[in-house]
Amino acid sequence: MSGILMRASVSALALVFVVGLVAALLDAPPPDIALREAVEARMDQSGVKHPVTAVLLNFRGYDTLLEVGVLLLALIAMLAVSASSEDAREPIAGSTDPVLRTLASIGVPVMLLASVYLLWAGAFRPGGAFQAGAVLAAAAVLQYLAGMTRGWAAPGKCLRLGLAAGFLVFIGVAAAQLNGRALLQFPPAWAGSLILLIEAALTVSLGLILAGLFLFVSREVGDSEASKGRDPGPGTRDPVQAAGFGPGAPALRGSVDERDRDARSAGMGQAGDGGVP
Amino acid sequence: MSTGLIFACVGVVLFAMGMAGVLLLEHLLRRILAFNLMGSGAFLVMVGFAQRMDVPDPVPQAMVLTGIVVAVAATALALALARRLHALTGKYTLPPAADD
Repeated sequence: MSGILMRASVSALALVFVVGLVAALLDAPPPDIALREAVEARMDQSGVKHPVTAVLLNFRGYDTLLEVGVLLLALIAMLAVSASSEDAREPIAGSTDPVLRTLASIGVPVMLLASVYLLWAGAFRPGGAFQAGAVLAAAAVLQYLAGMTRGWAAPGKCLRLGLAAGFLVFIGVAAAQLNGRALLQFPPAWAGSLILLIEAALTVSLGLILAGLFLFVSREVGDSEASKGRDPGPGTRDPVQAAGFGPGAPALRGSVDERDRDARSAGMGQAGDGGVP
Repeated sequence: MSTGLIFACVGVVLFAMGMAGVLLLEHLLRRILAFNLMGSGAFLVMVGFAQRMDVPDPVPQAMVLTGIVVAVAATALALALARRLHALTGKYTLPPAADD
């Protein structure tokens, strides 16, 4: 099929899809099941005062447990497919940018504080482990972009434990409650403390996992060569390219010597193949 | 028309835009972005449609909350795969499917 015909047919398909689905949405009958009322009726047994947290960690804790498992799996898969270099990484170029450095040095402590607050606030207002973990990860990424920390090499024991802590604590709590109850059915008297325990572990793990998704990718060889291979003025690299995602990055590889050295230290040899299609 | 319903309709449009992007775009980075747009559209439909009576429903909100984080993880995995493909072939486009 020619390109134009393809474009036209896909556009027409998308348009039909939009019209059909919007018509269905507008015509939808009122819902048969009242989940909101069901949640409200059981809020006093949940151990927390905010319905989203109650659903997330108590009523549908099983979903959340598996989703944390998916996150962990995604990180493991990402580590498996990305070529690694064991050497310590230099901070990326742009680290001399005074604006970014100042922003990071002021922002990171505030973000850490906000993360703890979000974790605590989850019990009675919007907040919780996922938001807190995301803020924690953002703080780590900001530090990295400002050149204050390095990209992560292969995870050691402590980091692995931290990455898995949320999932393990979640499973541990579920297993400890198993006598005579359904999986993840908390006794109402203990539910609040158990949820806080799980959320605290989840915050640390989610922060590390989300930061790791960025910082482990950043450790790859092509990236450091790109920053070594050219000498940009401070702050001129855009973040997308700095992270190696930009289409320009591969063209900016360093000299052959540097590439060979990195290929040796990577011990895998595919770094040198990158430039030769 | 309630606010929630408008959100849901916008979500449908975003989903369709993302779907067209996934089918039409060659460059993998663009395709991953388009896929993310599809995900955002689905989230918007879930949250918006559930509160079309202007009363928020915590169950879809909790599902979308975890879904957003999972989508970030899936995006990172997709980017790692794209980089791996680039390291092996020097291209950010998928090789053409073998005709049989």
